[in-house]
Amino acid sequence: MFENMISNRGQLAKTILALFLGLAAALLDPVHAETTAQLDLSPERCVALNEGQTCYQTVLISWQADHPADYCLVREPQEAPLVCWENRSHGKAKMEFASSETVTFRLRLTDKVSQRDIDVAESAVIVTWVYSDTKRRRNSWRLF
Amino acid sequence: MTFSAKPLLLVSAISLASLPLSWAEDTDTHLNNDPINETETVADAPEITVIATDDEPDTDTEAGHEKGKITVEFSIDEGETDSDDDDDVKVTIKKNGRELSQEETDAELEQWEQEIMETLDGAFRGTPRKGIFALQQDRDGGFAELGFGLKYSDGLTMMREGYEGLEFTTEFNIGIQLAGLFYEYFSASDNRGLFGYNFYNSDWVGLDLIVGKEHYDFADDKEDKLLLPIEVRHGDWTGGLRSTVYLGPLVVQGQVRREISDYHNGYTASLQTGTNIQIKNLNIHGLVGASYQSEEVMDYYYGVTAAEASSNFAAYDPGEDIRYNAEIGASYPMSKNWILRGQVNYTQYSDDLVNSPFWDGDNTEHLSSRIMLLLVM
Repeated sequence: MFENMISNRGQLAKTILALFLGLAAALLDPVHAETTAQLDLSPERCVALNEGQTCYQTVLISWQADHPADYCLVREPQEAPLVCWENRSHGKAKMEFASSETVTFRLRLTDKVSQRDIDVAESAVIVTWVYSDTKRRRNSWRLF
Repeated sequence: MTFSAKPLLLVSAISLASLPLSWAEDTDTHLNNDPINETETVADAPEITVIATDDEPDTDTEAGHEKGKITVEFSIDEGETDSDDDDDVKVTIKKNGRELSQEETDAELEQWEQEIMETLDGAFRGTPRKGIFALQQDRDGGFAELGFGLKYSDGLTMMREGYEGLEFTTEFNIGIQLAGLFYEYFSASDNRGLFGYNFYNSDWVGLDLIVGKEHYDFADDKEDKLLLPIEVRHGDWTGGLRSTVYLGPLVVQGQVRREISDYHNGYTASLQTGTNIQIKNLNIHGLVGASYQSEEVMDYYYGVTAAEASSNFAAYDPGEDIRYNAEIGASYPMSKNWILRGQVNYTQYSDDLVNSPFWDGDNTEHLSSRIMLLLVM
């Protein structure tokens, strides 16, 4: 069947041209090209007193990408974005972080054409504590 | 009671929304779709408020509301004599109109049971088995603390021990446990170093056998001219039982100890209760309590015998001692290894104690406070 399709030179030329244009479009499309981005969280560590406690921290978020597009910040494992930027190549925000576990955040690029989401960078706020369960005895003279 | 031959339908159409059995509050994520002006400073940027949730997103919630109900039917079979293979109660679950197979029903029931148990556990516990509520057997390990800071006392206490006013102070604390055996020492505490064995532990109660010194040596310094005529009071070893009970956010700790070093054969007891609240990363605690020392203990450490009586120390025969105490404190983690800790202590001593010639202070009410920077290792 393929041989029939390109049985004459005209059809062959059209097929090659179509393949070439398709390849060129894919390469020139910034969304499909590999996106380089960086997501920074500061501070990256949140310290609670005892293991298992919720840790609270004001976290500054900054990100930078190599080309403008629509980006969103997503907190794992949630899918809903926390904040989005339209047609930007960098951004900043402030977040009141509160969690008892380490949380990973992802910078998500949204391709308007294909409606696909691509995670282009990630960073985490590490939750740690002074007294781990193995450090502090439950029954002790010092109750608190 | 007689049942008809046909299985009796006892309960039908118990409608359950397919929400998970969890008392965790729903948390919203504040979505801000406005782009941030790239020239804005961080302070001007829209603030994202993320409310913590450790739960997985509840993707079934909406579907559960829409798809509707789960019907559970219980039927009792008035069958033959019980046997292991014969279930008298049959449970049938219909989900969205479809009757689940036996395997699916068993799995569903098992999941419900687990959710109920987790909910009850979380409800009574307040916090799951994490942090201070983690099981004792998982707690082998230890810590050491070195601290320095300032302390203040509004009056003197025991002769050669007490202080008054503002002072620079250091603090050393250690706690270590292996296979239930433990040692703990808090230099700022009235309780001296303590050896123990945690022989029982549940979610609610921890029981320890404990052995340690409760009093320091007294009048043992031969350079101390004033106390030279006084017979040495040796530090006593006492052994007993310590119980710590966890009632939701409240912790109650009691102990009873009897002297085993054969100096006075007295006994002591104490009861403390307190709670802790967290405001952001600041931990604030408060506790109140009472302590008891028997007359034998009082006689040995705070009494003056006729043979010892002099112009400096009148003969004294005290009765038993009950003292009351309260404490408010706060701890703030500055980093993974540094804590800023402050506390205020109030103690009301008994007249029998304060009237002892060996007691320097003359006020039954005593206030002390300290603020320390602690290195935790």
